[in-house]
Amino acid sequence: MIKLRKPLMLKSKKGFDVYAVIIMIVGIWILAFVTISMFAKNNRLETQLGLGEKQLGLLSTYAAAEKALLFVDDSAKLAIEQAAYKYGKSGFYYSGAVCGSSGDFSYWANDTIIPADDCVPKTKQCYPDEPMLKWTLSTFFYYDLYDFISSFNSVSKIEIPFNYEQPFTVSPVVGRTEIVGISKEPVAITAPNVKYEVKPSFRESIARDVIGDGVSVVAVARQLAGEKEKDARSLVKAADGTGGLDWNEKFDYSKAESSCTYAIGSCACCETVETCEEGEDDPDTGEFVCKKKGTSEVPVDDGTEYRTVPYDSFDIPMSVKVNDPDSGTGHRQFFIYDEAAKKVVLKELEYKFAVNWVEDHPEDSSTSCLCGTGHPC
Amino acid sequence: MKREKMLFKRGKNGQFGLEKIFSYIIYGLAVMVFIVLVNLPGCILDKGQLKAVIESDATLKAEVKAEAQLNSYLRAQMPDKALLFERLDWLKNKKKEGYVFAGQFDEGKVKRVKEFTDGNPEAYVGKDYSGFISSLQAIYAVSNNDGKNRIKEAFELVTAAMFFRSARDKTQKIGHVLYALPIAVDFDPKDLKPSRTDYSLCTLEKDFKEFEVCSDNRPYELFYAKFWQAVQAVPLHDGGFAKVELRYYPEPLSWLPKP
Repeated sequence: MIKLRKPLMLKSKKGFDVYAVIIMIVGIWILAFVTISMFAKNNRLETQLGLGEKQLGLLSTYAAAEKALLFVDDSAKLAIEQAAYKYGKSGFYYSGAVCGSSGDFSYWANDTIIPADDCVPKTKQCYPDEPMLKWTLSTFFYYDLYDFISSFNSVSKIEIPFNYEQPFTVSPVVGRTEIVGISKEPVAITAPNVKYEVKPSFRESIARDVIGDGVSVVAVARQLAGEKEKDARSLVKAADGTGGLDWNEKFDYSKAESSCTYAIGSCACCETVETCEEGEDDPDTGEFVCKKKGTSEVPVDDGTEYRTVPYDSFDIPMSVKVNDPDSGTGHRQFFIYDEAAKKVVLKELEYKFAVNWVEDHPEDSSTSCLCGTGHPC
Repeated sequence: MKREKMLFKRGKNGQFGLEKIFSYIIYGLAVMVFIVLVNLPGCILDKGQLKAVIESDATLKAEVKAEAQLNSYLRAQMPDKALLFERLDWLKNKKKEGYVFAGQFDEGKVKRVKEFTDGNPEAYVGKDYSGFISSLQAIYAVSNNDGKNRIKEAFELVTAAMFFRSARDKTQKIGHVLYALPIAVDFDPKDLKPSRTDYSLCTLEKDFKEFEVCSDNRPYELFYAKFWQAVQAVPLHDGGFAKVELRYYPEPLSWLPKP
């Protein structure tokens, strides 16, 4: 028993400790590795960048891109104002109303009455709907923004790409008109070891809902056509002030009398011809000799019958402005570049349109027959 | 007896071998401390290497700061009429205390600027500072000489009222100084390069194009101090652009609080 214990006691006291050997080897290896790494650096400390230099280089790249982005944002603000003004002035149509125009006013309703249509009044209506309002504003905005970006690119080393998803999104925001431009191409800035790309998208707005204004104006305009003067003025007076809009209560209500004449078909007319009431044959020549001449009406078929239809043409050109108590004139104003005057002027935001309709008087129409000799039967 | 012996043997080698474990831990700590000491600058690094490790380029920092400052100025919302007038009056009153704005905010000038802003709300209401600059250019382009001077004054004082700074300055009787960084605008630039870097931004110098509008309210300490110039383009209503330049002056040492 005693013999067994001794060997056991010997192992536990002086037994070979593998763990300690491993730790020792690992420790020496780590120290050697660290020391060699310290002295054998490929990139000497003196040649490395200073504290934060890489980070500042990145920030500098961001700052360069920020210049371009700031210009895009500022340009979008100016472009929205210019676009809103043009949109109102053009009667909410980019290339002119399909119903025609009269001076500065685009027709939203325009009756025509022409002889070729038998003088039947034809009503043409071009009231712009909300999608048209947004499209018009977006189109004006596109070309205005393009001008701004082009002027920047002409002098800047950083080029702003003008490649946006079309059309620009006119977002519904209460009391504001917001346009969102999503760029498809980024602004690229290349610096040593850095290539930074950022898309010049934007979201800008003006403090007036011009789309909502357009919808309100069109709704009232639809009711105007066909109204008597007194009723039309009452309608405009009732709309005045609603939604911050200042309707021109002193608008011109013009009535012009006119008429339309059209051909309705042929009619019989008579022609006076010479006849012989009395005569006889010449015994010598055998020819008939008239002794007594007379005249007679002979019907001829060369006349055309016309009908003349009198009618009244009514015209209401209308201008609606936007109230703004902070403005010098009481109406919202924008700085706008006047192409004709070649300068920037302060102009009031104005929505302009016109409606026209006719009222004919068929009971007052008259017919007449016109023949070649002018002789009715 | 047997039981006691066995227990004694365990006790000799340490309960659960803790002595051994702690000795290994201490050994590991010593290794780590050595590694840390070796990596500390100054232990084996010389002065040149030390400098390379901790130095930084102040120029690049200041350039970035100048650009960021100008961008933030241009995006700043213009105050409404009440707040703007309040600031103008506040700075005018400071004139009496001998502040650096003493030469700019006299009674007559402040009155004219108020009249201008009152008569031209479209120039600043609802706009940011870059929109204000665009609007000023539109008014400037159609003004006579008197109108142009009014616009210059308006720009100078409104800019100071929006962006004035306060710095501790023990040389001043009141203990601090009010100032504003110089900003100048060229309404008809040919390029986007800094226009001048060796003269005062707003001083008329021979052969230099005068800025249409300029605001410079620096204290004496910054007259000859080093600066960094930032440039930004601002779109104008006529489709062109204006060049806005800002000079950024880091605060001098005398203004910084002592440790």
